[in-house]
Amino acid sequence: MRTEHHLARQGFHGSRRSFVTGLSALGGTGWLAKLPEAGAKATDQTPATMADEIVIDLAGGPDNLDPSLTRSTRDWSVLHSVYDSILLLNDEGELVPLAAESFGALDDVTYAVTLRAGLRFHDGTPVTSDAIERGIRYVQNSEGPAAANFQVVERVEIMDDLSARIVTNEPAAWLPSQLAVWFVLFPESATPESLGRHPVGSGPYRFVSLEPGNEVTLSRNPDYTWASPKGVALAETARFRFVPESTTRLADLSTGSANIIASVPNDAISAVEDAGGEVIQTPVLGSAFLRIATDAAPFDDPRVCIAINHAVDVDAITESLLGDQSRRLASIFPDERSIGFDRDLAPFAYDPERVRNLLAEAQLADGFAVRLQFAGGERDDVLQVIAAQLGAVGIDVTLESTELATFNGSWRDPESAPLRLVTWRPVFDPHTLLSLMFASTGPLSRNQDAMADDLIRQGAIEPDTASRAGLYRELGRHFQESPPAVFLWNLTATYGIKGIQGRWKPRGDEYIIPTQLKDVTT
Amino acid sequence: MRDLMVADQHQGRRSRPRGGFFWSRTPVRRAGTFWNASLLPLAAFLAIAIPARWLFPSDPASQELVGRLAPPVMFGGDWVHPLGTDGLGRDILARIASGAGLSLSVGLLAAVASAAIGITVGMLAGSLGGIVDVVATLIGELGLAIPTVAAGIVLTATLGQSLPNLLGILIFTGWISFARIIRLQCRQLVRSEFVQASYAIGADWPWVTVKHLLPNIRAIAIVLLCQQIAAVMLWEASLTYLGLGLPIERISLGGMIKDGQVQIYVAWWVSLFPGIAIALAVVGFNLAADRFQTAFDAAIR
Repeated sequence: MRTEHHLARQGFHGSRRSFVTGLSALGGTGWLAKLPEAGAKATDQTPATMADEIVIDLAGGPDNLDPSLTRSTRDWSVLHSVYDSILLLNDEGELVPLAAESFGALDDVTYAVTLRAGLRFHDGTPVTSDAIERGIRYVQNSEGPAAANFQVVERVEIMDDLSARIVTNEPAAWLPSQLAVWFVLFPESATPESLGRHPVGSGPYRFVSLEPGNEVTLSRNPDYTWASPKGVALAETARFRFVPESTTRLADLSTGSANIIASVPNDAISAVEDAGGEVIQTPVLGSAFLRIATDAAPFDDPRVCIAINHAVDVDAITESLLGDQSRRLASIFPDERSIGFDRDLAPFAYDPERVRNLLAEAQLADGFAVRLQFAGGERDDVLQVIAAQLGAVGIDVTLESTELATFNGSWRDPESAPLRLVTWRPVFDPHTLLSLMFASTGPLSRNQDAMADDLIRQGAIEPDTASRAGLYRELGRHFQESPPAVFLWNLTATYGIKGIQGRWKPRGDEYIIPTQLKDVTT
Repeated sequence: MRDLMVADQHQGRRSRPRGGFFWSRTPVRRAGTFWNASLLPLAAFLAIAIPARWLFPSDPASQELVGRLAPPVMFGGDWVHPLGTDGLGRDILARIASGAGLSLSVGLLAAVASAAIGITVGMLAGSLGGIVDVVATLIGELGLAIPTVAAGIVLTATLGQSLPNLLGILIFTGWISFARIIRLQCRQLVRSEFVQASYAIGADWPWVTVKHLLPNIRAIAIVLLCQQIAAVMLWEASLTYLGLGLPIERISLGGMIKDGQVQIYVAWWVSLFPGIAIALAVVGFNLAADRFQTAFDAAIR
């Protein structure tokens, strides 16, 4: 019931014929309720004290700024500072209008969008409705991971300078959440080459420069003074530095050369506080799991997949290594903000005896050997614990660390490791994750499960959000009978901040956007 | 180096009547103060590395999450874990002992293999000259142009992390220094009077190589070998620290330092003790090389 309440609050997902206005859910003819117009109440959104510079240490960064090709929250932190979409996933995981003044469904396959008046791109040209078609076509024609899902858009009808209709070739209730992540508005002058090198958007910061592998510099967009739910720039200049080593990030915070550092290790929290910084730890709308290749033995037997879920003592890992905001998940849905989260579904219990029984039933009483692949940079300490726990019940795990490019290039490779560590965010609307990772045809999938395919497909085309949530809860229960993954924990983000205490707060999608929100106390 | 080469020529003349490579009366025996305090670091490292499994029977891979980051005994810990535990509650002393043994094995294996390849190539190039010398030199120059870290990244990305891959990287980049120095030595030797005299009385290339060249490069080869063992162990630790060396389930000193890096502010002992072990090994083998060289020089003088 928590889920329904949450969805009703969002308004848009309660009904295909209601509209997001950012204030409330309005059905029928009331959908054109206005948000404050662009430029209005500019001084309300201007920070009381505008710093000259804010420095953010990310754990890595983009070498390619093309929004259709990015894959990580690190990349999106930079790009969502430069670009705006028509919608935004807010801190609570709710969809609210951003560049759109209103957004809503006319019927099961048609969305109406009206842009705010007065918005301008960084090159000075106005933000008009043709940018919606341009942005969607760009994703459709890209080689990025979202291209396949965006093929659901049949056409974009331009109604006038500020209004357009997005028409899909089948019901796609999940599309708005994808529009908030993968789709951005950019001007007509942008080309694929310029998008990859010098992004021009309409967001709170203008792009200044990129030093590949080192840092991105942005400058405040002086026109971004409207009451954006994204907030307004915290400083005249924002520098995103790419610092893979956590100790270097800590040193940067200690010396005052960084204001925000990402991915603070749990063991270093006291060091941040000793350095006069503040630690902010928050749950992220994301989940961690070991994807299982159910298309090959021994994992083509669901009993083995269930056994391996019972073999990992996730609670011991979260308590010792991940902090008190992490907990074991029953499925891929991280919390109530995720459509399909089922609070009544209990996670697999750690039960070595049951593991041995299940393996014996599957004619694997002597155990078996398996490879576990992960991208270098992931937390190998937790993987060593998992490997030791599996080893204790006779599952001999070989850990394979691979470069990210190799990792991303081998999702469907039948020769690749049957187990691989995946961390996925955001999982507000699970369609992306399910369709890519767990549908048998998904580009990241090695799961062969007809029932899962059917439920994922039904969830994709079901227009009513409450019904979709029901389908996904059913899928969650099915995943307990035939697990395509070892379900681990919900993701959390830990930041260290200094010099901006009280003026910045983290987001549920883990993007670090150096803006000041209205409800952040100063 | 020039002094060493001159010394080798002298030594070559002295040792020539005494025969083979391994069985001649070496100057080492006459080094006098060979076993002195400068070899203590190496002795300390070997004392940890070689009898590891008998001295420290506790399982170095055994995890105990509730006892993670326990301090060393002299900083409030207990004798169960004399050097404390790491982030997964594993005994640091047992892991150092295990890691040191692996590092030593890798160092010896890679250095000996590098020496075998490098000495062979260097002797062929230096004694035969001509096209063999040109090709060997060219290959060596090309190899030098590829940094070890770059080779590590390429091999790890394409083949993954494993002990054979790491040995491949270390041997691939390690043989060149042997080949270059041995080639120079051999070029000097083949022009010397006693070698020319051997050829003049009818000796063939294999005979000259075995009887004259090998005994005369033996001293510098041993010195180079000691230095190479230290270098290889340092590279193994460095590559593993960077995630390009041994897989994480292998216990290595570089991996231990990496594991402790994120806890350096709250549990310095996790990285410090394996760091000390590596330092002992590197300093020890380099001092040993220095002692060998001094001993050879002293014997010749």
